[in-house]
Amino acid sequence: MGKIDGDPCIRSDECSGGYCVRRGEFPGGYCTQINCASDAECTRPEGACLQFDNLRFCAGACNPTCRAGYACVEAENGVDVCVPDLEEPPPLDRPTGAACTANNECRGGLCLRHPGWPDGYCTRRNCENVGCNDSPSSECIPPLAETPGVTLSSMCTLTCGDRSDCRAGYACVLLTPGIGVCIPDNADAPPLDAPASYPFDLTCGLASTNGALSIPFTLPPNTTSFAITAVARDGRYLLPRQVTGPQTWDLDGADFRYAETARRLINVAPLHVPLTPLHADRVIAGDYTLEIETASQDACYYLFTEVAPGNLLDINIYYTGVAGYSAATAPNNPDINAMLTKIGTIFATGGISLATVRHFDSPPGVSSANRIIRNFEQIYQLGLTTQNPGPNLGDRFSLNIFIVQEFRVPDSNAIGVSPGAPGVTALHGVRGAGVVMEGAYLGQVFMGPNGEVVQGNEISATILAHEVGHFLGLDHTTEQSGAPDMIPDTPQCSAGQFPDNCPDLGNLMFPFASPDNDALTAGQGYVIGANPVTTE
Amino acid sequence: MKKLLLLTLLFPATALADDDSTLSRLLLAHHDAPTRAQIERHVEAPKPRLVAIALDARMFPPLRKRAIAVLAAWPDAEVEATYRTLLARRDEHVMHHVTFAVARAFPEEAPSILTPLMHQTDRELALSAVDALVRVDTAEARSQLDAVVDPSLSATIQAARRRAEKIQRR
Repeated sequence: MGKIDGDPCIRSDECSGGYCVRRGEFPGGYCTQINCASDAECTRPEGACLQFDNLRFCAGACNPTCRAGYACVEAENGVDVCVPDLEEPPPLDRPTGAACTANNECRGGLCLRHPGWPDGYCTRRNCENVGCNDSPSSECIPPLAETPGVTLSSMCTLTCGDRSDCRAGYACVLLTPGIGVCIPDNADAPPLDAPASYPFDLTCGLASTNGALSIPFTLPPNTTSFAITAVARDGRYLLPRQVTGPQTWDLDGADFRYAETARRLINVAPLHVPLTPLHADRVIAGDYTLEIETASQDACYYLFTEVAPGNLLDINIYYTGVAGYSAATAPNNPDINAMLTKIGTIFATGGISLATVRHFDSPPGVSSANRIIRNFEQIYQLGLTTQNPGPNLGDRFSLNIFIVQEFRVPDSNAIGVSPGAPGVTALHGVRGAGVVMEGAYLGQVFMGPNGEVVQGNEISATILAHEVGHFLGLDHTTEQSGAPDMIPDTPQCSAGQFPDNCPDLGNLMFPFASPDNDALTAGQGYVIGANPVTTE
Repeated sequence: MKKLLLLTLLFPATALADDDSTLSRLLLAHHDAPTRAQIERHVEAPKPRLVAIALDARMFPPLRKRAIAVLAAWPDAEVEATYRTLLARRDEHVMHHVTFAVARAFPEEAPSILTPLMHQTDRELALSAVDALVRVDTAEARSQLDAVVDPSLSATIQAARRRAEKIQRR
């Protein structure tokens, strides 16, 4: 913290305004506050609130001139402020990510002009040996979006911290937390049915303005929990920012950490409140607005409110290429039944009953392509293959599970994955609509840590139930970093107790897998019950 | 019942030491394999134990996969020999993960170890070898991969290479 508006920067935490713009037109970075409402908010020092492309930001005052790449102009409030020098750069000198119409406009010598790259995109092809250092905020990576007509092994791509760093038509897709690249904002559109065909109110056709969409909603009296989910039918990126109303919640903060899941799901943004008994008193009746960062021109949303917790959990199991198991034989398969019995026992400790279990076979093409999971994108995309489990509203309140053969992800050793915490509820056929587990150990018996017998069905059940717990909104009881969950009755592990003497050993959401970690607390049961996927 | 009896005969009665319990617990983290530093903080001299777990075909496979992954943090001759042994065994439960560990631990040797696997008739093993080798940033690895993307070779392998390159950066 500490840099004033207009100062050069690399990270947002350097800036007293809380944001570092790193898009190409702001060479060297630019400290600011974004989404300012008026000049009165721009006082680091006195400046002006300006609109630049899809970015609304506080421009810093000239002192008395501006650094290279910026021009000193007089704002409407009479203050001289530094803004990007928009004088057209000379040919051959537009940096990575800049708009273009011809190759000779670009420093890297290539202009991607396909309509999939709005307004063109300056880059350098096959940069693995020469790098991208001639442009600010540019990284050499394999293309993350289609480049029809142009064969590239790698390309210089504009880096970003958030969508505000990218120009209109581009989304900041995160590679790691806080670091992403600007690529065309046109992910695969979720194959939603006609809104009228849904047994709940799915409102569609909402269009963003200046990169923002506001969705008003009302919590009726006696609401105890609710879920509101936005989905971009045109496939555009959605990032929930805050809920305003009787209270204001930062959706990218520690208490309401919904943006993290939305970043992975790209065009689906699920919110469930509360995720802890501590927030029960924050569900207050009244009028709210969900503020979303998006360029979508066809967004949908739906709202579910509850006046009492649910205690029944329905699941839909998709057999996705796992050898020896199918929807037809699963109901009478002893391994599947043993696994389900164990899962039922686990959730019963939290007051939740496993109710209807439906069995589906993934389509043959989906199964053959995904029986082995080699990257996480497969996991997110599997959600697109789920189907509506039944015609009635109650059928939609069910959680999808994919059983694949095995994970072989080179950079990860995950043994089960939930695409969200929480995941999306009641909407099937969208990214991330289900947890994924390995089925390779079902029906087998192995040796465990102490020479004991490990029943594959039991450990598979525990691993799956753990991921279902995440999908329903549960965190680890204690993270390996020592960070506790937000549920008051789950025991927490101190550094001195880690890992063998942790009091949360035995809890399903303990961060290490074991068949013996099979209990939930009442507080965890409360969170699951508050999730609309559980019904009465 | 028959399965359990057989296991009783196969498994030694000797329980592992307490440290093995700790090590096994750390290895079975739900989401990420532990780092060498994390393990050494809690377990004394873990490497031989990790090698034993990796090689023990009776062990729960996720435990072995994690041991194999963590051993990449000890890139010495013993670990290389362990990896080569596991690859030679063609142990279906873990050999794919060995290819990834080879790429991480032994980038110089990886092309010679993995290239033969890329030309296996076992398509899945070939894919794993490609997924592994694209993570090796050496001229030799790139050269071997260039051979793989020769049009005469499988389009599936080409796609795997591109996909693996993409994911590497995520």
